Amino acid sequence: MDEHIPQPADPNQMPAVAASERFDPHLYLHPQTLSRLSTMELRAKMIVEGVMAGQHRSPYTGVSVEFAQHRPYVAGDDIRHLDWKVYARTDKLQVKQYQQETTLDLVLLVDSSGSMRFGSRLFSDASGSARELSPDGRPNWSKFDHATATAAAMAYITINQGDRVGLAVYADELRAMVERSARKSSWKQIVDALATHPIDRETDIVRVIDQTLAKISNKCLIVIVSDFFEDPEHIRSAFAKVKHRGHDLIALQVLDKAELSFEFDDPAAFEGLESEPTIRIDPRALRQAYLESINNHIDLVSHHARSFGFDHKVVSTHKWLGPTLAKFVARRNAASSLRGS
Amino acid sequence: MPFSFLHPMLFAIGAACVSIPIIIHLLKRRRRVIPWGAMRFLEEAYRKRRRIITLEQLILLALRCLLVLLIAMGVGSLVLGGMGQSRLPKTLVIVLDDSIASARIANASAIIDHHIDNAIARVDALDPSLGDRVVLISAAAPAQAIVLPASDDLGAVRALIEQSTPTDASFDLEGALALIEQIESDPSRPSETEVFIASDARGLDHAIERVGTDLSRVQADTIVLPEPDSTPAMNVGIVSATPTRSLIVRDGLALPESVRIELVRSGEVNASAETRIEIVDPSGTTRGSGTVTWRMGERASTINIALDTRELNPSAATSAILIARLSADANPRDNQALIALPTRNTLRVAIVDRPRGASGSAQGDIPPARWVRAALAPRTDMGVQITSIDASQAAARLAPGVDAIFVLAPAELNDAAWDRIGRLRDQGVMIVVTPDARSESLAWFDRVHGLAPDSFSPVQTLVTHDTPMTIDPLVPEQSLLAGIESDWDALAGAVQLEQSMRIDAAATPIALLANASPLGVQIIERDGSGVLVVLGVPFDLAWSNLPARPLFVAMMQELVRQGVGVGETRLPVMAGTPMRVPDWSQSMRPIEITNTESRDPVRHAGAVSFRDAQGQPRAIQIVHPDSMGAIADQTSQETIEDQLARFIDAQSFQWIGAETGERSSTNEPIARSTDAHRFALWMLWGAFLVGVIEFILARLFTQRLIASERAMGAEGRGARA
Repeated sequence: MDEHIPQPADPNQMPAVAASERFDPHLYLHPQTLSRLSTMELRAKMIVEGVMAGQHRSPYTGVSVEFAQHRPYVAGDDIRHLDWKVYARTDKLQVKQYQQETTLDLVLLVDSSGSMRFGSRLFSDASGSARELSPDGRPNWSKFDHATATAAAMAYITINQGDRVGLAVYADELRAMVERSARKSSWKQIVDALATHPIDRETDIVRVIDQTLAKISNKCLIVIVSDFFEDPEHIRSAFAKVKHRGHDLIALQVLDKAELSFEFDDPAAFEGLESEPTIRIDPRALRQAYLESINNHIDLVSHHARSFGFDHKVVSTHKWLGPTLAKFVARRNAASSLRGS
Repeated sequence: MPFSFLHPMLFAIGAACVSIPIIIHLLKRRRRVIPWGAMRFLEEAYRKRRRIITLEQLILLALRCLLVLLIAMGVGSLVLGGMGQSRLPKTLVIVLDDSIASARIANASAIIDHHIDNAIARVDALDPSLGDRVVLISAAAPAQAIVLPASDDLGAVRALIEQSTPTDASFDLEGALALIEQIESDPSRPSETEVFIASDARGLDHAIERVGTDLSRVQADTIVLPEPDSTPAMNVGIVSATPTRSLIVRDGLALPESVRIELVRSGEVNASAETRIEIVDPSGTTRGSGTVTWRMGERASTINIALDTRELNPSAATSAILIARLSADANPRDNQALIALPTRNTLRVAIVDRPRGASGSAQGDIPPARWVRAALAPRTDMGVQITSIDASQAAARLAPGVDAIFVLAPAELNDAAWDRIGRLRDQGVMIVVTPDARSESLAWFDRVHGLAPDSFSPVQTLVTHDTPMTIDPLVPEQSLLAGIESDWDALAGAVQLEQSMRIDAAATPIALLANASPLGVQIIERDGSGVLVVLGVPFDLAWSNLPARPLFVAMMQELVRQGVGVGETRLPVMAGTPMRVPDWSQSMRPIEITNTESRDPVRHAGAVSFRDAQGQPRAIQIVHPDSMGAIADQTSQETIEDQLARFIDAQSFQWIGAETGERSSTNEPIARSTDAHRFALWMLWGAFLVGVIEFILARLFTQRLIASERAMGAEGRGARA
């Protein structure tokens, strides 16, 4: 691989960024990405009850306004739901089922810990703009950049669908938060909140989940956009808390291609981004063990997510943002439809 | 070995080369810093594999260092080995064989010429600027250090080598090894010791046989020898040449004289051959000749050659010198030997007896002195001059100039007379002592015992024979009377003894009685002192009829001639062996004989005269060539190596071209270069093998991981991404 890795800038040394640039959604949403996502429907995995009727359908069938399907009558079913017309035509007892449309509150949690500063992709290649450097002067497209772009896209889609979106940027605790809102103006607040920098701290997801859940009462879809470089047990504990409160969760694990392949050839000193000590190694000699370790970790995160019925998805910073979200949304819609029947 | 790590320059180059991988390794460590997010997993992997990685890195680093080292050694050997700069300073010890064996002729030149060529070639190959030095040892017995301690003046050593000529002594390997042991080594100055034994392997083989078993082992790095040549050679040498009579009296009886010559044959002995022997005087007149016919396989022979002693004059001192020569063969130096023949115009004999009419002698009896005179000089032309001395005046009248003294009345001599006799004997005068029938006392024997205390028992006894005792018809070996052995049987039978003195002595009997007791004994010390003869019977008819029998005349004539001649003649010695110098000798002077070299009388055959305080030559020492040192039997390399390994601890044996071949000096640089190329080839082959191993291990340590990871991780990454 090309071993030239754009160096992440020190957040403390970053230049001042003009407000017009910070709020420019095109820096995070490539036109191609937005053009694809604007035609899609974001469907939550879990139909939550909401005050807002629309395109989101409730899984609670029976008394809803929109017919869903027939099913054979079984003893104990409410006879009010029998479709007599079908009985008259076919002499079979069929029960009518309805889908209840719900509102979807989306809560985006974006990881801004130190490890998210890593990125081996050039900024100019990833952002879609013609710029060589990021607004804060970095040449690389970091995992945090990719995470904020993903979160912005999802928020944009959700707001356009009329649903409420909230946002939290966190590291070892919540650093910034935007209250849930379905107003178009909230998009600017979200983008403004995303226009921050990773800090040189480790993640404390349990603490962040506790702080987040304390601020929401109704059932939400929580999307965590992070590299999940944390103790798997802490992650499992955080997922358990979310599940316990009845929320749905999507874990988007943002990883750089270099982290997934580790294709370095020459000995080098690897310097940690979260205050870890520097180690001098021959990458070829450690490659197998490293890949085993990170893959085991990814498998554990995925396992924990799926064990609570949540979705987990590895998002590569080198893959196009649009196809990833499109595939994700399509799969969510399919899953929602199946559950709603 | 053409390569050494102890050479400072080479060591510096090698160290610099070996440090290259280490420097590269250290430079690489500082080249790049990569900020990394997934440190958690990198640290975990590092913890898991840290020890293995360290081990693998050390293995690879060691292999790479070894690779560079081998390449540096190979290239360095090629570059420097040929120039002779890749070795330790050399101490070249040349053991130059200038023994009699080196005189052998092969391909029309003496072997020593090839030894000299080889030695000079090895000296020329040295480089004084590298600290090379030379020790030169002349190996002819006794081995001599020509250049010791080691010298770096190669030109001077070269000149000394060129001056070397063959001697007549054998190869003294033991002495040469002892000299090598004296070479002092400087611990602060490491050097390589090469011992070049410039010798004909045939002579060396014989030399090894003479080395004692208690010799300490000599240390050397390399032993270099000329390859044994296979030139056919047959050599005959004179081992000894001994005249059967030790004295020639020109004015007396013309007794037959002959020379007994022992010969040894070596080399190509599986064929019959003839050797012509000629004995000449210094003027070249032939005095005798003979021919030995060798049968197949015959290695030793003896021949008696009759001599014409007429008009034979002394060449030196009182002896005539003859030359025994053999017909030409492989080695000319052992084809000639000198023979010393003591000569006299007259023999001067003093007879010490009681005066006529003294007490104890019966009127009408013939006194012993008269019997002796009648036997030795019945006429004036017998060549024997008799002087009668009254025993009581012996101390005053006995003077130098006599050849023999007969003491017939020992009991009548006073202490001064005995002391005088002792001194004359020390000067080479023959002494004959008999009992005195006119005295029953044997107290005088104490003084005879004093003349030769190691040979005689102090107490002797008189024996009266119940029946007349006869004389054994055989003459004992080594007896002075051996010259009349052929007549002894016929003459001795008529002698009867009524009484005799039993002689208890550890000495050679001159004749035996029928009861095997000695009639008399002879003591020949061969160091310049005269022969002492003690007889057990007086020349008196009261004890025996010996004086009145014909045997007595022959016995006296032979006894005096042989005794006087033996006392003057010294047994020949072999060249290279110690020479015993008489106490009275004040100087020693080589005798110039035709074609005889006298530069070194110890190591060269010839003749030497010992001179007394007056500067008069009084004795001759003949030095024979050591023919056993010229043995020409061929010897194999394996035998030589095995034999030398008994005495020398050497890392290697190196054989250079045969002495009959081309000078090895022309081959030496080629050999050195060949060694360097061979060494370089081995080093580069080693480097290649190490490189292959390093390549395989490096790929095993790294590519194995990548391959397995690809199989394992590609699928997972693809699915996740």
